[in-house]
Amino acid sequence: MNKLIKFFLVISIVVQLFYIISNKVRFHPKYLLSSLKEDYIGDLDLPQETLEIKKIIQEKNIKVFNLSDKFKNDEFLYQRTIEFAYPSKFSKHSNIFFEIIDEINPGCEILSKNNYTQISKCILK
Amino acid sequence: MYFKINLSQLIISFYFLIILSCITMLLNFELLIIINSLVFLFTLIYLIFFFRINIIFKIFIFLLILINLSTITTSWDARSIWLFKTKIFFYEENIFNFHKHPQFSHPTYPFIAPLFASTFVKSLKFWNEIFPKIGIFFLYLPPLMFLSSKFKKNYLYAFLSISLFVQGKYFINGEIDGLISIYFLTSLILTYEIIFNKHDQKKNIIIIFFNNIILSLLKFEGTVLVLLTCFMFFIHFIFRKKINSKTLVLIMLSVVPSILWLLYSIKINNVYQLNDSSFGLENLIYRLNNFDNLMLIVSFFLSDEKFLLGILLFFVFFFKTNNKDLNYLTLTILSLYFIILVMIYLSTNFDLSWHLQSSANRVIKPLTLSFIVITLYNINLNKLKK
Repeated sequence: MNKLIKFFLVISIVVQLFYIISNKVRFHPKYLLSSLKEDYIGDLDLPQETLEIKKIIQEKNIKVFNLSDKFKNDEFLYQRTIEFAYPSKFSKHSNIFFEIIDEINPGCEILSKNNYTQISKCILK
Repeated sequence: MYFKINLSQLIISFYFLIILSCITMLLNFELLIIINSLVFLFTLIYLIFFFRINIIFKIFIFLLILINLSTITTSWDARSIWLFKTKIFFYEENIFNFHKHPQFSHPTYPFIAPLFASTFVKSLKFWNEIFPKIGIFFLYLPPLMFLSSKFKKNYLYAFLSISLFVQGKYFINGEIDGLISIYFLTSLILTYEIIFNKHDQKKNIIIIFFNNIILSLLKFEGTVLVLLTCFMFFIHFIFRKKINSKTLVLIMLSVVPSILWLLYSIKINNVYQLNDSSFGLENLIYRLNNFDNLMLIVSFFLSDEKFLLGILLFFVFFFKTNNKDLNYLTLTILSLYFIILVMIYLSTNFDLSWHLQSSANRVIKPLTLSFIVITLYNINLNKLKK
């Protein structure tokens, strides 16, 4: 009887683990092999704008940047961009703004355009 | 050379290494950070491959480590708060610039979990989106080892199964709420054992001291839970003379780091006007006038099936088991915590329904897990006494 209970309890642990990895978290065995690779992000679902900003920041070695109001008003886009771009820091005192492509903001001069974002130099309010 | 340590010594070693890692991070002592991480990893290898402990428990821990290293962090709080704080601590030379952290990362929250997680990233010397989360999981090891030592054979498997049932994804997703449940359960069992069941007093006091320090610095909920256990010790010292003054002083000392952090966080919140507060006394007074708010909170908690199951199991066995001291101690602490949770929700600055929807099932987990596991522990104790 004791062995039967043990069997069912151990099976319940295994079944729950399978349920969690298949339904509750983003699991894939390939991540394990890459978990010690530098800058590895796997299939992380980040906005295209965020990925593009990170790439530009690395290429141009930008230490501090600002974000347009359109970014700030989208909580998901705003938070993911700031945390993913780190150690480059968001600062409301920087006059280098990342804007969403084709965004027009008064007092801003577009410096370069990319696929999803553009960089502008703006007069701070 | 032959060396052998027992389970209590191994548990205490893990707790000690966690605290030491955090201190070396605070001091930004790079060599010590690396040595400490390596010692932690060697201790883990020793636990999994060489230490004599239940094989299913070893496999359970090993699988959770593999799963943690095979998952991407996607949950909102884990990314925006805990993993982001880990990233900040990894990159920054001076980690005390809390006022410069983005507001959404809640700069005034306690931070022992991301601080500890960042030690492993510091040792690795680079960042990625998978590995840093493992440090958060490593925090589970000492309390899980302690709890597993309280259950033998099928009771141990039942404990592991129940933990997975209640905690589920929280073992893996990089959030802190699962840790709070496991650490609190450890504190609760230790509180009972120190006050009423006088075995292994010295070891238990050392473990609860470390456990309370970490629990109180995980999140403010942890601070509240540690204060509640301290209150129980105080009551039993004053009115029932069940513990001595030395024990009481040590238990009280374990809450000091979190009180200091609380005072400091209030100071930086005011000085830098961080506006990092989700609660207000005026909301509490306003909402207390409307009974519907109270009903809304209680109905949210009672709509959690696991919580209901926990209450049901606890009360079914409440009168069937002989350990009345344990039952009343558990009921008192959990009831007080439930009342505090209701008060906190009544004082929220956010829309009450939204706040409940986004967090009620998380913050109730320490109660759910404690109700169910304490029932199991109680049945186990009863069987041992027969």
